[in-house]
Amino acid sequence: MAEALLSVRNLRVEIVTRRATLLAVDDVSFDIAEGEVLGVVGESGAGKSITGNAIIGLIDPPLRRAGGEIAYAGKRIDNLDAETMRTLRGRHIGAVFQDPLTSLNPLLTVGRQLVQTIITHLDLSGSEARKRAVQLLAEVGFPAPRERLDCYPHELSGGMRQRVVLALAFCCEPNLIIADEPTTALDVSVQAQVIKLFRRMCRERGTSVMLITHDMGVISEISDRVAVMYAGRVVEIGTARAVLNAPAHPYTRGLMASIPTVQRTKSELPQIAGNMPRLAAVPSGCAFHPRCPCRLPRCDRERPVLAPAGETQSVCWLTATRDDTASIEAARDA
Amino acid sequence: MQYARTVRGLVLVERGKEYVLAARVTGVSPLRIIATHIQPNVMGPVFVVATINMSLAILTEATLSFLGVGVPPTKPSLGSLVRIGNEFLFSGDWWISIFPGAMLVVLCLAVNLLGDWLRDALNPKLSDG
Amino acid sequence: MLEQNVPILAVRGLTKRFPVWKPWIIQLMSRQPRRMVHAVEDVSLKVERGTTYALVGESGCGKSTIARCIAGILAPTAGTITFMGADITMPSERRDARRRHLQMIFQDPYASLNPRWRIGRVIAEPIVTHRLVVGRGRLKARIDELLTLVGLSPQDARKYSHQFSGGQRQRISIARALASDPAFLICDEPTSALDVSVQAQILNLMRRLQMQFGLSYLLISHNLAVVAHMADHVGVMYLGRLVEWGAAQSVLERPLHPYTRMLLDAIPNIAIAGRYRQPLKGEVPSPISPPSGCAFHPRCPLANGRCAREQPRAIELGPVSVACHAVEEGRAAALSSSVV
Repeated sequence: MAEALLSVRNLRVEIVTRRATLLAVDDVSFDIAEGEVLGVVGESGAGKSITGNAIIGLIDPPLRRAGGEIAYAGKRIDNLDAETMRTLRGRHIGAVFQDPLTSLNPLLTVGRQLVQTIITHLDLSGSEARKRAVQLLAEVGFPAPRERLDCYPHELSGGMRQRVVLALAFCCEPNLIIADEPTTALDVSVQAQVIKLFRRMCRERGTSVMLITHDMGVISEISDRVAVMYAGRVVEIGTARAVLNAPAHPYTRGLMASIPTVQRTKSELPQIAGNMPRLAAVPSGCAFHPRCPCRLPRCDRERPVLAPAGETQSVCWLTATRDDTASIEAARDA
Repeated sequence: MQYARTVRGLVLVERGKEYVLAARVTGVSPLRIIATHIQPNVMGPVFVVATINMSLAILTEATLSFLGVGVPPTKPSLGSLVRIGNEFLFSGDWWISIFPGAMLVVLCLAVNLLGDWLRDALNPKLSDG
Repeated sequence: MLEQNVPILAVRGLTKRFPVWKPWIIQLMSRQPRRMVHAVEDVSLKVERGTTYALVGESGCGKSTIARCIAGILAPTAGTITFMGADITMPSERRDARRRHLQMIFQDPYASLNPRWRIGRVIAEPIVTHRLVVGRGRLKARIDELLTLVGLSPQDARKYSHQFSGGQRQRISIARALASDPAFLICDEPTSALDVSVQAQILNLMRRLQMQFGLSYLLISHNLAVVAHMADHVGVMYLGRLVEWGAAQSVLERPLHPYTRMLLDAIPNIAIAGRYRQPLKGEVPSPISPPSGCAFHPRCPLANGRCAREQPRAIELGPVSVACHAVEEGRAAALSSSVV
């Protein structure tokens, strides 16, 4: 099997507060292969953004990395110094963030930001960098890219701004992009456009993506594989089709069932009781057990580990003891 | 003037807040909205500005007195004390200048810290209910 | 008081325009006419008692502005609003029937509660304002009752809003809205800021309350799936105008207007992973200078010359009304039906 482009093992990130040290990311492991899009999905507080930031190296106090290894192309990157990490970012690992307003410097024109980034990471002359910038703007869908180079971000609409952010992320041809909620701030119709563009650019270049979002719809559009996070832990991981259509973990099942669709009209939505636990009060054993409809006696004592479960891999005692979908269904309905 | 501008800015922000809109929709009278919603949320930053101004006032008065154009010499002032002690700085009675000077520093620091404390004490998010 | 078949809320020809703000001296010197933001143009709708009417559209379409005009926070430029038989077009600060029976829930659970108040006081505000309950004991009992109704505990009355999660804060907002025993709730994107599983809880709560108290809702949302779950009637808005409206089932299952069809198509279908869709091109234009004729024509695959010149008029087709030249001329069937 080809070695994974990004390999995360047992990552732990702590938050140091006055009163206690809390665990925001707890023993998270996953791989991203070359050219693969991994969707990391979860609700607010699940720790997915912090995981993404930890991989890029953008963890600032009071957060700190407290364990685990991150390897990029076979080499460890979690223990690099700030300078080396900075070179790695942008050239090999790109980033797309949620809010295009704050991702772009409002005082610099679009062209200058692109050219600056290109020159910093690639060995190109000023005019070559400009040409490349124009190429990129054309690729992301600007009709008159040369003129647009001199536009300021506030002169562009939200969708256009996010396209510029995409151009910035791809300009140094990174092998891996960490995208944190790239379409959440956009209108529905613009979202569809940007997702389509993003998918095309990734497929054409064979870029791997770690797509962090709470939006299942976006996940279903682009992801090859999906990891579901809850309370700082990965609870299920598998191919997109499997996780979205035949999830094994009770949390994923509850989550998928509670998503309203246009087809299902005027009926009670299945819901998961309770709320995601606060970091200071994560339950013992399986973090989901207080809200789980299929709770077993051992769930509050022992923390489950990743095990095959039907078509996916799941962190759950119920599914670990039965690893085919049929018996999981039977157990649930029992 | 500075207070007026600060307060105006803060009030404009408060007015747009959704809980103020909710109160308007409910039918709370405008005076009551000002008294119960806007004013408490505005007072916090005003206090902080007030304490900064207080230290500024103390220092300004001290400076003027030091230069001799402050309060008349019959009225006590830390600034005049520093001025008087200035002549004796190198002739053995240094303490005439230094102690009032140190006192000024302590006073301004105390007032600023009071402002910080007040801002934190008035911030309900830092309390635990 | 109100006859059975009279709608609880009737809006006719509602129009709201905002002047584009410029410092007055620049306005004086530029000698140009004041530019206006055409936020809402000629919108009419009716909400029947006990039903949910949903206003759907993307940002800038004017749905929030309509909500605020109805709530009495903004004064309309033109049009009338009738609530429970009384004309409430102009905002007034009087404590009249509108204030008591018409309440609002806002989008941002973090900004809609005063951070300095304990939530018992937050919920008590409408009760105290309308003098509905006399005596501290009875007030406390009413607050406890409301908290339990929305799924919280009476002990929570002593806490501050920052001690609650987003979903819980939205429950508190609902409790506050119910405190004055209203007949009508305006819900402005009530679940847009919430996680999916919390959204399900809040939507279910809202439905239960509607059935229990016979409430009428005006639901503002950009999320068609949420609308599908809650609404009896839907109005689709684009750049300040209603383009299609009628029975929810008809609008969502058999959309006629090209914009509605594109909106529905833009929703990712989770069951079909990796589905290829044809997204809308372009973006919503600025409401300061809307396109001539039909505002949607620059982005519409069915636009013809008439669409660029003439504002389409509404035509009624059974349970649904549409404002579209292509539909009127029978050209709309050319759009492939892509709604699953």
